[in-house]
Amino acid sequence: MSGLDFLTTRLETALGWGRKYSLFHYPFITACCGMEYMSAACAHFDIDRFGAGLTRFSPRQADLLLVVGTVTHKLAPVLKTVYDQMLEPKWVIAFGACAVSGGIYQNYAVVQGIDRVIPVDVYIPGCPPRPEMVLDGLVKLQDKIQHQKQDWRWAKKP
Amino acid sequence: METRIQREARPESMLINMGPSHPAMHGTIRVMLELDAERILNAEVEVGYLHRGFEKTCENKTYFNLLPYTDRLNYVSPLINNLGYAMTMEKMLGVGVP
Amino acid sequence: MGKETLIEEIRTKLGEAVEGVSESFGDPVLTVRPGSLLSIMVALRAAPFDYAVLLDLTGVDFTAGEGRFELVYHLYSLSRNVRLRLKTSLPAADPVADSITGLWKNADWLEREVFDMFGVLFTGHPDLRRLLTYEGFEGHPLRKAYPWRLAQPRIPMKDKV
Repeated sequence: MSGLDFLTTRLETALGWGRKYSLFHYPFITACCGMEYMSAACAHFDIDRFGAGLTRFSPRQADLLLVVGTVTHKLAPVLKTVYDQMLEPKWVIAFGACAVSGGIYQNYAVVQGIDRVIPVDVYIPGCPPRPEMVLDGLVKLQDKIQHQKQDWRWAKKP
Repeated sequence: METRIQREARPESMLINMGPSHPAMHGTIRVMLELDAERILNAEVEVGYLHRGFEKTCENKTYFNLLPYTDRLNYVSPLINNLGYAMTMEKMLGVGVP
Repeated sequence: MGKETLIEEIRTKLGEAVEGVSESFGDPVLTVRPGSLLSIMVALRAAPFDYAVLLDLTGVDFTAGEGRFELVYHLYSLSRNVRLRLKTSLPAADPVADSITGLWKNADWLEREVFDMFGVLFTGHPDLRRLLTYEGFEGHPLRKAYPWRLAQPRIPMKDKV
């Protein structure tokens, strides 16, 4: 029934619009990139104008996990626990070279990229990335959220 | 696995874990607190969550290669770390700076 | 007490426990035997040397060339503004040293770090366990025999997609 397709498309657009402009993020800050996160979140390079300004201090209330800084093997189970505690729908941004691929630390102690532990949606490289790059990555994530498809098989009769 | 603070805690106090990831602390450190309704009676600290193997990396690189690593040792004061490292190298190698 | 008289005092007071005295970039360096380490530290902490601060305690792995571990202590005297470096050599097969936690409280964590990184055991330490690595980590990372990139993940890592 073509009418249903039209409705589901409009509904997906509305859902995407709602989700992308009200991202609650949980900043999992470990190291130097935390400085760039703070400068991106504060007044000069505002992330609040993209709707993502509210920092929730608990993973159960957040939908965006910002992994900022180096993740070591000692910290990896903690990251997995935090990711598991978040509710669907959830997205992950790997912020900084150390989160993307281990950065300049290629040794026994550092996880070579957090996508070995949790699935990642957007990678923001840089050591540390400029705040403008952070905002660009956030906008790319918003594009991804807008175009995510929902599963409508429950509504469409076979 | 019982920690020292669990063994030594008084039965009427509350044990709270400020885990490695929390926004109040600057960086990752695990502090296990024994509380009596907001007064801290005892605390145990666990570190090492940001141990990035800097000394082992130093063994495998040259003096000049290590300059970016010293920046990131204490990221709140990167230039001081660089300065300390550069001055140490100059002192050890005996080079004068114009 | 200036630097010149300091070395004289050390030679007279501490005697044959000190193996060698040298100078390095303006700071005196003592080489001592591991057996007499604790007694020398007690003497250095007290007057007239008065080394009130233990700045650092690290180790060096010379097992490849000379077959020993070296412990390096940095002491600082607040009243006289003078630093001192102390070195001891431990055998590579069984590195054991005395703990100086009774004299300086910060030696607690410094010795835990040396134990973690090099495997040097400190007798008399109240709670010797790993500091920077985690439970289940095998080996001592800063030894030259430990490979630089050998990671021991705590949870299974996914292959890079």
